[in-house]
Amino acid sequence: MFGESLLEEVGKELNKFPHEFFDVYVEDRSDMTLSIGDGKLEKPSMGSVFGAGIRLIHNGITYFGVVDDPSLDDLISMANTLGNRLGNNSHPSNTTFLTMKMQGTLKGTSWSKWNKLDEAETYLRAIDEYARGKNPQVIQVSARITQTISKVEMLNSLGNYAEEERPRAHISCSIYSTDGENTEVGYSVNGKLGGLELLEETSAEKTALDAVAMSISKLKAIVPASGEYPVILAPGPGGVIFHEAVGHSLEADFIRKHVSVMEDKIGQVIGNSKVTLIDSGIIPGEWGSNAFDDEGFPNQETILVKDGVLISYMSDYTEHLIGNFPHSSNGRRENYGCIPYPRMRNTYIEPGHDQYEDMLSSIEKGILVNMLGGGQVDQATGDFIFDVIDAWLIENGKITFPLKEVSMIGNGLTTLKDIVGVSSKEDLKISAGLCGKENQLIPVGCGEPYVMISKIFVGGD
Amino acid sequence: MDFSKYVSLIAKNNEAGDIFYSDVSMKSVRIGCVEGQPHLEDVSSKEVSGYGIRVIKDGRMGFSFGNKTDDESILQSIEYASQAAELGEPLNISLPSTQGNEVTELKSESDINEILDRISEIYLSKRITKFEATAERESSKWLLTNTSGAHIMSSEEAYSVTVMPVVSGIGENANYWFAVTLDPENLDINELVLRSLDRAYSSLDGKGINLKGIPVVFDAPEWAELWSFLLDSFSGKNVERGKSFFSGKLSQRVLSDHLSIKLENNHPKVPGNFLYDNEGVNVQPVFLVEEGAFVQAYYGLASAAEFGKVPTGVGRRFSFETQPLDVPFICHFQIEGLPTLESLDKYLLVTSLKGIHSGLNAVSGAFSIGADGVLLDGEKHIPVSGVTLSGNIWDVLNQVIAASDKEEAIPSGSWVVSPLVALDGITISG
Repeated sequence: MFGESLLEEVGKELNKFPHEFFDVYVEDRSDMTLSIGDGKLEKPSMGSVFGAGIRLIHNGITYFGVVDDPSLDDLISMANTLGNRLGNNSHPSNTTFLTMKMQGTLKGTSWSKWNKLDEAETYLRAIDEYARGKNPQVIQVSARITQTISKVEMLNSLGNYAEEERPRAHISCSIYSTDGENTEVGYSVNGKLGGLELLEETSAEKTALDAVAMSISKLKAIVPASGEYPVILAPGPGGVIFHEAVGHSLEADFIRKHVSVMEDKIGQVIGNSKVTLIDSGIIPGEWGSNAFDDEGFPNQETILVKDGVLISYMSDYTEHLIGNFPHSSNGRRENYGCIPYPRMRNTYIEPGHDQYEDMLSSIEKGILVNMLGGGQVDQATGDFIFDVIDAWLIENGKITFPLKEVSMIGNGLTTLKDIVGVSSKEDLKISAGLCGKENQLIPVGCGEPYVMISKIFVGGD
Repeated sequence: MDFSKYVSLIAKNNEAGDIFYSDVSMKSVRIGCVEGQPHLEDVSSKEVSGYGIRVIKDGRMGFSFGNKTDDESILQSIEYASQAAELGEPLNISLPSTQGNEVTELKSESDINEILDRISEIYLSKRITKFEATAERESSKWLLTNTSGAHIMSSEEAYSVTVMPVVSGIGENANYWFAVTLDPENLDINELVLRSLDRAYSSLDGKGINLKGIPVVFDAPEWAELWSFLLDSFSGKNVERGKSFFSGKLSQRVLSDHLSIKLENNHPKVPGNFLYDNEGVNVQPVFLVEEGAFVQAYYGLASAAEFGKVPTGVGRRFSFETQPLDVPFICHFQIEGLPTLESLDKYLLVTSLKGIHSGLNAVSGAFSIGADGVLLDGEKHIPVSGVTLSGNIWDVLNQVIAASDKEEAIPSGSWVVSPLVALDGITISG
């Protein structure tokens, strides 16, 4: 890594060229991965990469260059390459350039580093044993643990210098079960901003048995009749619906390009008064948190919807400059080789005051959704379709049968208005996921407590 | 970069291994257009290089990667790979000793800004005021050396162009089309734009309608997208471990006997050749399915060693940072003995899929996925939007009833080369 004074040299070089904004993003990332499959340890891996991305924005156009394993000279050379792309008609900037070290909003906490691959072996073998021991219908167990430690330093044209170490740990587990005729898969996933303490917080037994329970229940699952049902979204993974069907439509680049259903809706009622939607990058330990965004600004918490009223979009600094959106520190990128865009962090429904038991007992026939799969959303209309990975039928206030081949079809705005219950903070859970946009995958959190939607179309039989 | 001294070092320690080095440089320009005003959005240039090192100790394989090319860093990576190898399961892996060069050269060059200007002109002439277009020129080369003496160098250059118009009616609709070419000077930009517009208009202002007994045809990108989820079912690892629909079905007729699926190492519609995989194995042209019968799974080096099979040349590395995955290069769908699509009274042409990544269980075949498209009923073209397609994909692939007479090639993990295929047995609900 370079440190503040050396990066300042690069900043001074970039500052010679006309610009609205520039930034330098340096990353030194190391990864470790260990997997188990068919009872055997697989694909042990560890490695590291070091590189930098430099961006210069002029007349609303982004000029971006990437340097692998850079020296200071390489960075200065790339700065000049980008500056020279502006052409001869560009008048050089003559302002002075000074840096200032930024303090992140998210305070660092201690975390446990994974130093040797074999430290995860016991955990993976335990998953395999718990899963196979739990039910003879389990035929295959796959699990993987990864640790990524990304050390970043950033400098931008405002003089902000920021450095941060970002450790992330992730566990994923897939269980295949069969009844001789059908084979079904169950999943469990967990991730956090932190280290191997994740393995203590989420035991191997729980990781395995959650996935086993899902795969076994799917063997007995029925396909519900298509139609409108009241739906309860369980805490955690169900929150992906708000990320996909509402969150993306609030990203400033989609608003500026006139391809979002949320355009011109600031200040309008877009949801039930029980709905407060937050996107936060500063929740300690959560998968989508960081002390800084990826443009050199301290991270923030942004209230998107307050009591049903749309309060804010999510903007990076570029969209702040081009589209005049309030800057909310939502500029994120997958790695040094990528341009940042407005992206979500941890997006969740703020807890309310309703009780899960009351929601359940109010439903004559409905569906409890424990886990949603991927979905797709038309940003321009808000229409969505989501596949439901784990769902149960509710009949007369009781959970009865597991369901399969279920999809949820609706509209983000309609769904926000149809939310009729939000349970309390004890139920809030944020789940780890990966969000794709512009061919970049970044870690994000999605969550909510129990949320009841009065009606939503469920595709089934 | 010459890695031979590091490979010798691995061999000197009585270990086996390989070093894969890749160097990719790319220039990309993107334009956007809002309210009829095209503008440059971003200009990117990247040069990314690095190495992946595998060390095999007593049959146990470990992996490491890095992009620092000084001696100390590479030796550290070898040490990491060696440490990782302590944990792997012993396999009887025999590294190939293939030697070869593979060069795919451009047939012409073009200024990517000019390509984008031409695209803008055509869209604006058709009164399309909202669109995005990206043009890239990418050069990539990779080098593989191993302790068995393999030395393979591959280099490739190509241009790719992607366009996405937003078309208006009562509402709006967007869709995309793209081209990958070695000959950008002769790229048919008009065709590129028209195809994108056809796809965008196809489902504009469509409604979700129930269509009983109507055959379904997936447009080429959607067919390729579907197969990016299904192809893994032919992976030897999944077949042998009971994680595939094809487990225990070798030599059985499982799909339509009009359908054959073959892995290829080149095809006239695919730019470049794939003679060697990224593990140094010659890519074998083999049938996975021949006239409906499942005849062979595919195996990378490690999975072939695990199950006592011959590797088929599917070891792919999508970056130097990743270990080889078993993914075919070209998957060719061949249809014999069926009428053309024109013989059908009507069919639903699907031009957009939603929720495929979790709405499809490739093991059981059950699927329930969202789709948009157009009902082609003689002269009538009826836009369709927000329908759910459901059924069992393996049953459906037993009911292939017609196919187009020309093939298209789409990159989707693997290159999928196929005619458009009409399928019966899919439930379409609004």
